Amino acid sequence: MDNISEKIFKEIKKKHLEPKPRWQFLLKDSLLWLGFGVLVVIGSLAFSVVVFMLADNDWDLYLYVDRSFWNLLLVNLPYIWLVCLGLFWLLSSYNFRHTEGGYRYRSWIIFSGSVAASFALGAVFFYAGLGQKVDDILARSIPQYCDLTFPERHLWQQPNKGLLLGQIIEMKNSDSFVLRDSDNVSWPVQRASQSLDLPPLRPGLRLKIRGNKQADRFIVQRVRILQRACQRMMMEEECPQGACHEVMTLPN
Amino acid sequence: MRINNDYLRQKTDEELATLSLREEDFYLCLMQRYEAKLKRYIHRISQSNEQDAEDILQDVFLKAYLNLNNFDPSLKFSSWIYRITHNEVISAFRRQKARPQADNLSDNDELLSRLASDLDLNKEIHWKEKTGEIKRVLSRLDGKYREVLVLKFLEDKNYTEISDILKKPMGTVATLISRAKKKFKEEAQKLNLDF
Repeated sequence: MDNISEKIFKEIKKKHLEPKPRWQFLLKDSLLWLGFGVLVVIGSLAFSVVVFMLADNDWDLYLYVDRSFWNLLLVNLPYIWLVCLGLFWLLSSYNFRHTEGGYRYRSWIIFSGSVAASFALGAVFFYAGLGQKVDDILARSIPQYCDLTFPERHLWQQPNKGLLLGQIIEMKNSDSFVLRDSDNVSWPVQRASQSLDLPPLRPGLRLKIRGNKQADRFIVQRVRILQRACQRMMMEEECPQGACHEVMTLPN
Repeated sequence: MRINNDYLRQKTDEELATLSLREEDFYLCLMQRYEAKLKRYIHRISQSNEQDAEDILQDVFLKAYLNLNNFDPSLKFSSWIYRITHNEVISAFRRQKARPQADNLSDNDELLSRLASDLDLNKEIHWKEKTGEIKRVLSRLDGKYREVLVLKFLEDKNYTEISDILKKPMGTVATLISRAKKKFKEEAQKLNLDF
């Protein structure tokens, strides 16, 4: 009676069995590595969007509204992106674990490596402006995106509390300009002092400004150009049918 | 093709694996080198009967042959084929669990007697002296603990090999072995056995 080795050997001969070609295994391994790379890149993009949002956040806004710092922080954290980031870290770690030799590393080392890779690449993406680009694209293509990532948009429509969000419709001189807010009200805006640094301003630029509302003008103490598409789109919502565009292009 | 036996004896497993890709006769030699070892390993970790163990081994040899091009030469061939065996045992175990469980008490007895006779491979002297007690304790251990103890002490594999077979990091293997020893002692105490 044949032993198992003989039996299998005869079966191999009889059925003309052959080892699967090497390229199949190389392809599978390459796909795993490609998947890992793609997940790290997507995770890095998510990280760059998180950094972009945190950098654009107004951390001292609580000084102007009746809310605590922690309350505003908890409300404004980009949860959806943090969840995505965590998910991509987990997926890329899982993917790496299944590459050839991936099992040799402990899970926490793989996970830390994935986090470190997305931090490093994400920082590069952030400085290259990709975080803002991704945020812009999603804001314009997914209707609910801004509701999820910019929940406190109406905090900026409080001129009585010194918060104003609007678009420059006219530059008077280097110290003053006219700003149309999201309620379609025009505000003459004046620089508080010569020592206040202003970014280069021009008509059409959308800003969020902080200062004091006075009888006939708004004295500005801090100016930031709107970076996020969600904030810029807020102006568009308030000025339907291209009304804002008309204002923006009004002759001096 | 007729291959000289002396020539074959001089070849390492890894060399034979490479040669098997060109000529299947070399694979017969590889299978013969591993048939007894793997069958014993299957019995030790799975508590399967003779027929089941043979079925698993056939699957192992076929799978190994079909996947020969996936053998990573940075590994030992022995680690690679033990890994395939480990995976096949798990697959067979899952299939069996899906079917009604047969009373395998007699299989257990068979396994235990085989284990006892195999224990002379063990290098730890107190294990040699107490085969009967060891088999009782081993059979009570969770599968993952039993398997690392079998690989370490009965199959005489080092940490790197166990890591490659189980596809777990070496640190995890060390932790598993340490926990398995602890569990072994706990189970021995429950049975009022002194190790």
